[in-house]
Amino acid sequence: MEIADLFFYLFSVMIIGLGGVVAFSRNLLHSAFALFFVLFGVAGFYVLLGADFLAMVQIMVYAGGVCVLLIFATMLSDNISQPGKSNLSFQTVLSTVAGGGIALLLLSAFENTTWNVVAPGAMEPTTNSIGKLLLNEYILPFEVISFLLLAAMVSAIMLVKKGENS
Amino acid sequence: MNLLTDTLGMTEFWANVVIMLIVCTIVFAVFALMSGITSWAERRIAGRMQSRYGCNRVGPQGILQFVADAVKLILKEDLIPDGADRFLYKITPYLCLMGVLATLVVLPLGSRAMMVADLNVGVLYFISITSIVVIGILMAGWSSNNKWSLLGGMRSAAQIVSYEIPVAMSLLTPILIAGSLSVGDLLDSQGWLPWEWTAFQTPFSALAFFVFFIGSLAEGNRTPFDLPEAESELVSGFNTEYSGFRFAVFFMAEYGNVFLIGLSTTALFLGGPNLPGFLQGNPFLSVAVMMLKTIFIMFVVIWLRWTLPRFRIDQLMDLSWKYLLPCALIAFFGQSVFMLVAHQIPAITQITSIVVFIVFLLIMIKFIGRIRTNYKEQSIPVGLN
Repeated sequence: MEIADLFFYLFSVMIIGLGGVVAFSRNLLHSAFALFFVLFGVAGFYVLLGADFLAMVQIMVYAGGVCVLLIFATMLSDNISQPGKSNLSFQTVLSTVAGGGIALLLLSAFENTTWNVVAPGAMEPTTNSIGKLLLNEYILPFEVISFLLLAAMVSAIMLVKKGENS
Repeated sequence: MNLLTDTLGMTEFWANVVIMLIVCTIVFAVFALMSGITSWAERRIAGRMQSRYGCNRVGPQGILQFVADAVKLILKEDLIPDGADRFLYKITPYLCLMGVLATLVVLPLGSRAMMVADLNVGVLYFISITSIVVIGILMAGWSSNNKWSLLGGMRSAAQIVSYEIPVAMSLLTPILIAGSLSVGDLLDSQGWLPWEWTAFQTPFSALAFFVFFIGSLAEGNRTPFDLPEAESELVSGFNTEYSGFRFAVFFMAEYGNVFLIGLSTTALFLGGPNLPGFLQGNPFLSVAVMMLKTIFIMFVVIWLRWTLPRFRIDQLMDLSWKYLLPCALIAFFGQSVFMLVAHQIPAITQITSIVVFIVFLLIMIKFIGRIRTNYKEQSIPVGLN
């Protein structure tokens, strides 16, 4: 067994186990905290796949940013520790349909994709090439996305201003 | 590695595990010792600054005080408040300590070889791993079932999240200079002379250094930014309910953070362990240089704590968003333009860095002169203990 294998199983257990906590915990806040570690485990997978830059961005943006915001939002909602109001109140039929649909979609994508297999040990730093691609070949999508984010930011500020004036 | 596999007949897997454990133990030992000594030094320096003694009973000059503290805290009862979220409450201190310790992975204790791992995204790792501490603090605040803890935790998390942005932005300047995200390359891009350090390369990198230092003070919850622990409002912040060993772990994380502020500032901006050419690579001297600079920065951090009053929460947020973030952006933009210009004439870089260093030196001389004047002309004599 290689060290990488050990970490693969470790991260798998972490993601599956804590993913279960996210879905089935009776306390919404526990779910939010567990989600943080699930995202962390996903970053671990990225490291194992040799995507170093992506892993760090995953931790910074999703675990450090989105998940912390989520926890803040959860703390602002009332009665979070009551299961009837929070996590376990789901629509049986609708959720089965939606969940099953997504599972089928993922399964078909998994079946139909030809996966690139990279030999272990052939991992190279990716930051340089990502930067070059973003600023040469994909400059237009990159700029469009940044404009989208800018628009979101400006509109958020406008909403806050509106609330302050009234 | 070869020793373990060949002589002791271990498989490669177990040899790797053993090496990892040894490295972890060394790093953890250094961290724990430094955080203990920092807690002693802080109380001693505070005493000196306030004309009182500070701890001077255990060992010579009281230097073993931290051992006594730790023994006392371990022997104390570990209370869990009624209505607390028991599981989260129990694991939280270790999570905080883990987040602080994880930063040490990419920071060198000596020369470039003395790093746990020289990741090629080291600087990004250094910025992003702080999120574990944020989660730990939020958990501590929530699980204590105490409104002051919760307020302290929320404040602290909000503070760390917002100061992360100027810190990350200010780190772009050294990244530009080194042209790499690896901490090892950042060390190599600097020389041993002060004007070869990143901090004094250009006026812009000096600005970035300033932003980084203030930002990391705030991220470490140190005064003047220690609102999460503001005693007069919040008892003691997110760790109010903790006692015994769990409190000791929080305490260790907090003082270890001071060590990390020193280490990161030294490595990223103040030349790290670099030595003059003929001594380059000497392990003992490089550790000595690194630690000397680190300890000096730690002294500055403690000195600031006992000199400056605490910020108000709105002032704190204003400072981050209205002043530090624009400063960091200006530093980044200015440095890029400067590098484009100086790319054609290399002499400019040299002259600018020397001029920046001389300006810094003049400011320091002026500062020391003012301190001397104040010292001579004060009406109340300062008692030395």
